[in-house]
Amino acid sequence: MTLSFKVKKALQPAYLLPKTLSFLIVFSVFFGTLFTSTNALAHKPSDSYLTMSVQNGASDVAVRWDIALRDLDYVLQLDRDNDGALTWGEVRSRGDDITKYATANLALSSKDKPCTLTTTAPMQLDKHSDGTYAVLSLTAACGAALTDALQVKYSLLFDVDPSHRGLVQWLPPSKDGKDVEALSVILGTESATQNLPFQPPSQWQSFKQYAVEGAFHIWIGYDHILFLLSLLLPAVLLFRRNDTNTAKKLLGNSQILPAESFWGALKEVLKVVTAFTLAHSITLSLAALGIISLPSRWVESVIAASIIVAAIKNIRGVVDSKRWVMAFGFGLIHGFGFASVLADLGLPQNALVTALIGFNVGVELGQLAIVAVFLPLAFWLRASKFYQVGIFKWGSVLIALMALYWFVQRAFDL
Amino acid sequence: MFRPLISPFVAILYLFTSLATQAAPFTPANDSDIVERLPLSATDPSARRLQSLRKQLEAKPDDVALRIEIARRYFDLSMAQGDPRYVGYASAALAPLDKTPPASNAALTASYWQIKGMLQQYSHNFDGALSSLDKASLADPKSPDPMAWRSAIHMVQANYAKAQAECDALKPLTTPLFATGCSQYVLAHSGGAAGLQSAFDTLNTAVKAEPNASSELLLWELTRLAEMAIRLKRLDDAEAYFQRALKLGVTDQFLLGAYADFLLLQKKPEAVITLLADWERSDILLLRLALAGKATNHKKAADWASALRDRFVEAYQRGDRLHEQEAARFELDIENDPKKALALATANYQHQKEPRDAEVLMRCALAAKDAAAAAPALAWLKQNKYEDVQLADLAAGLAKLGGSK
Repeated sequence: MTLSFKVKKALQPAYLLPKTLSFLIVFSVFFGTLFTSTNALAHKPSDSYLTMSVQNGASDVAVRWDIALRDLDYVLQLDRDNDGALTWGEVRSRGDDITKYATANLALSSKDKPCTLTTTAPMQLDKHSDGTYAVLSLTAACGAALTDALQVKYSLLFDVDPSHRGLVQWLPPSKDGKDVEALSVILGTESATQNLPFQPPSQWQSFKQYAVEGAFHIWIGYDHILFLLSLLLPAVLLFRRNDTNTAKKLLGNSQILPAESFWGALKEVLKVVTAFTLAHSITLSLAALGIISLPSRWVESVIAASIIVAAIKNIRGVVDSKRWVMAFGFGLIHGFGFASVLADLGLPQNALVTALIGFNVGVELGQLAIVAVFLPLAFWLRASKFYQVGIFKWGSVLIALMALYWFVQRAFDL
Repeated sequence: MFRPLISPFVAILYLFTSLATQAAPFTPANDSDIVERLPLSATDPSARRLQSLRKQLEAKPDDVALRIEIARRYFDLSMAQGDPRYVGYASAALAPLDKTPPASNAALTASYWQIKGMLQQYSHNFDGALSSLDKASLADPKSPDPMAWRSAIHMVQANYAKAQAECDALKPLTTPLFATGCSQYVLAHSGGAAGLQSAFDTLNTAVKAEPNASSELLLWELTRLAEMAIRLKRLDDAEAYFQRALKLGVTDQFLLGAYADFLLLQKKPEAVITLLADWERSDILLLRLALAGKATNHKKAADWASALRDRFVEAYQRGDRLHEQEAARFELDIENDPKKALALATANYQHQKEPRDAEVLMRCALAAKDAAAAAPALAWLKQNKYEDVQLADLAAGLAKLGGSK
């Protein structure tokens, strides 16, 4: 009865004006104070301090965790005799509770496998600018050697103080015996789960990694391969236009002949591949650096259309000798397609240009691998009917149908 | 498969090397050793009351009224003690209500949005705070609280017309001294030289008319009068107002800070050291101590400076941006790093536009020889014809700097 009365009264609009206006004072200061104690410690928001380190090749994480006694008292009532002073006895006797409470609010995992936290030394104390902290020495056993990002999930005190932060000082393993730079990670209510990254890879590692991605993408990106193939199929053939009416009647508008020399065919291939690479490198770089961006549905549709155009030219036999021009023109659009892949991967800010070049080189190497398989085979078969009709004509029909299907799917968002 | 090497969402800051060194932990020799003194002893009535309220809430977690009361008490405690942890406790008490704010009971709804707005302004979420305070007014249109708080937020953002509108609205709902203080404070900022003189006279008369007003209200009014007197170059009057305010027996960090600045301006650093002798725990007063210490070559000057440096690093490390004005002054006057100071002052002026913020921005721009950086403060000064000798001198200096380029 008394309680509900008091609560009600407290909730009435405060017409007590002086109090209301005192906010203005507080306002300019934000940490406005009215101290009565003689405590000279700084007043600051609640933080805990975590130092985590991993030795090279180790499977466990060494953790030192400093938590303010004041915060622990707030949740665990350490001050048994309620005299406002914490003795070492009061703290020490609750050591197990403190460790249990703390470790229930910290989870480490590597590649989705949780690590097991255990105590390695008895609890100690340390002084920070705002008071005395309990120091927990822990180790997290993660099973396998740690090589990739370590995930940390933190929830200490968030239920009683959402402004609490866990401040992590993270020392990743040193790769080559050199000193590592400590990284600081802030664990707050909005950022409670984070990755503790291992040493950023060297420029060369970034280059390699992105080159592999580029090559890989050319291989799984069928639309780029098919476009390239549509332009390469005619490279081992020669097209003679029949000018006279008699020739047209006898042999059709144009006549397909096998290429005379391997080197001539190789030259054709190189012209096409180089133009395509040059073009998509330009747009890929511009898009990856955020200079130009195009709507992806439009880009993907045009890529499909480019394949149809190239394939139909093959079917109709109106192949011109300047295929590299088409390779260049449509290559510009294909570059935007690569860029969206790169955007999904994310570019490392410390090695932006290296990664970009690596990706381009990878795409190029992937294309060269295709050419290396295609060209000798096509050159060998070029005079056969199998190649000239089966592969060149009917293959192009197949490619065109496939691309048409993609085009409809992409352009009409089916 | 492939994983992005560095996620843009990972908040990583390269640590200051000084932080990398950690002190060695220790084990006390005896169980009876006192290792920590808690800020509120159990004998403290407010602490006991809060402890009992928290216990009750554990038993009745759905008691909305209880939740709001606990939040309000913790917020009041944070203001009284200057301890940000209590702000966190207040937020935690309120948090379960954030998903479904009370709506059925007008008084509870108003209280919820009022305290929510106060907490939001504390963390400089001014837009959120204004919107919450609007909801408080909607639930209880006759309460002056949300109006007063909105007025204060508009003052920080230099939206004087809006601040004045709130003062007008609360006038019929409150005492004359309170209402006068609200509106004259706005006038002194936006009314040019004549407005300043008139605000000073009006407020002076109003204070005289209500000698029995509460100490907290008088303290606020007297501090404002002292500030206006400084701007009117009536330094003796300013000193008298400060002395009267100090004798009210209410310890207040803002008053001490303003008075210390006044003493520093008059080249009386020794007096600052005496005044703030026991105030090292407060960041903003420690800054004044460090400034006075530097001016007098005090033996503790280096200690104060390094303690302050550690606290700014700590705040930065946790992502706090609440003391940028002080941090800018620290970089400028103690560390002699005008470039860093200017960056902080510029960031601060994005959301805090009080005259002191403008002054710090102009001083930093002048020191960094970057007149353009002070443009927003100069525009504010010109637009409101804000009368202040110090600011006028700074503006002249910046004009000279800009012109000579």
